[in-house]
Amino acid sequence: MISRRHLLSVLAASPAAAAPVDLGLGIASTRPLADPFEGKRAMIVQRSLPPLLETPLAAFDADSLAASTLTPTERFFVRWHYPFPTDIDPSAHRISVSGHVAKPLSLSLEDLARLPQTEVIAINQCAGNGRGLFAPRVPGAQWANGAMGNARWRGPRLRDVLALANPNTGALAVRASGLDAPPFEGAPAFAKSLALDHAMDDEVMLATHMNDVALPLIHGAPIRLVVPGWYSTYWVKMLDKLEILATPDDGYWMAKAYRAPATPHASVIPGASGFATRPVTAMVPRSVITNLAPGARQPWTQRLPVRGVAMGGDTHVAAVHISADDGRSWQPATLGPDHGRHSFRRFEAALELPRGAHVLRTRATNSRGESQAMEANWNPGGFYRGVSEAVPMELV
Amino acid sequence: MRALFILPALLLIAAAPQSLVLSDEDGAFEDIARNSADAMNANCLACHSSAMVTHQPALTPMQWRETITKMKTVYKAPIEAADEPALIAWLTAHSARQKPD
Ligand code: HEC
Repeated sequence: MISRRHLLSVLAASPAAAAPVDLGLGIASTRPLADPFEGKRAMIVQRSLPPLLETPLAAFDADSLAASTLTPTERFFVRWHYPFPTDIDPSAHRISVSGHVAKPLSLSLEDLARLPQTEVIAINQCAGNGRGLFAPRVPGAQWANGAMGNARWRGPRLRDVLALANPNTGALAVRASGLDAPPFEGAPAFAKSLALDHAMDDEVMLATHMNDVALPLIHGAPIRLVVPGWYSTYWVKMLDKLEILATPDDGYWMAKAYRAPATPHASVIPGASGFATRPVTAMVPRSVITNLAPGARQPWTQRLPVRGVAMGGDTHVAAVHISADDGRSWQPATLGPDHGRHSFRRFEAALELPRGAHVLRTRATNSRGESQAMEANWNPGGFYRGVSEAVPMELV
Repeated sequence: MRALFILPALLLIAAAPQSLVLSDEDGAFEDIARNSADAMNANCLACHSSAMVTHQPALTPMQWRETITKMKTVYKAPIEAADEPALIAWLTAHSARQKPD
């Protein structure tokens, strides 16, 4: 006889038959939860091609503060703009370093493996994470809050690669692009640039490994840029070109797209126009509850565990506070180990609450003293969401 | 020393070829009442699958017009001017149909 336990594990192992999930966006809120292709399991499918896959927040959950904060690669979010090669031969791959340099180069992965290798645990988060929660709504990928993940990245520093080519004086920026390509002639290739001093810092790297294995194709094999503390738009995948620029990058993806108002919290009044913009850059503090979904109905217990993950933006998480009355009163959460300023940090608290409806909120504060705002920001691109999210729930 | 020791292993692991099979599970656009999806299927599936469009919030006809203009000017979508009324009609019908879940 097949035990119930065995039956459940068999069910869990078979490809998820696109069970729908409601992301809580109001209209156009339902998405399939599926195993879209090999190497990805139980993902929110925002779009099949090019793939946009969101991580359900429950995938970040763990019942111990000491548990790993690394997002399993099979649950890690995926975001491509353009089609990309689905066959990659790392031994044939070359990265050109050109432009305003003394010595233009074409480097193999073997060349890069000879440079000093570095490692960082860093959050990779889409600049539009949470766009679907904007009110009023804005067009674009309609993510809830799962367009992010935390991983250990390994590879050489960008600085050491650039040094081989020896940038000329007057070099201003480094423009990175990869093997993804627009399907129609004349559309702008995806390319992002970093100021030279940023590109030459200790942290920016070219990752060949993610969570201790070779970077998977879907995450940008054989090599991608890793820009700790900055939004994922800069983390160019399948990197094959580094151009050193002597003039500011006026390409579409820097000059027109991924720009936000040059205002506090990148916020403007909905419908405003004519405001100055600047490229999205560093992330902001955020926190999410991972063990209770909005609208959850939970059996009452004396001490309700509330837990989740927080980020400081581009610096350490210093504190997380939890409210059960929609932000009127707060109590400090207990923090898990600090895995560095670019990593998720776990938090948990036990709340003593009566039966009935409650609105939970969490608020992260980073080591510069910046806390999540209580009011959501708004901009037409749907960028920089960092509000303390309200999670209505009921104890029954 | 340590760096030298791990080097060969690193090279081996990163050098294995990889391939992936992706498929379109989003499907084609469907007719909405008397609004045929033919123009949508002919013009809006060359660069992304249908969920890029169907998962958008309700947009106004003006916003849909701007979206189509962006597809043409930025991404060079080869959209026939003659198809645009049918595209706007379908997109507007799609937005009108969306209600809070
Ligand atoms: C020539 C290629 C191409 C064609 C054809 C095309 N699109 Fe797009 N579309 C894109 C690209 C590229 C994006 C950005 C994708 C991303 O960010 O992942 C996009 C994004 C979108 C978005 C998201 C909002 C935005 O402004 O980025 C919508 C909505 C959209 N397309 C609708 C349509 C509709 C409707 C059609 C048919 C009339 C269409 N597209 C045809 C290339 C195309």
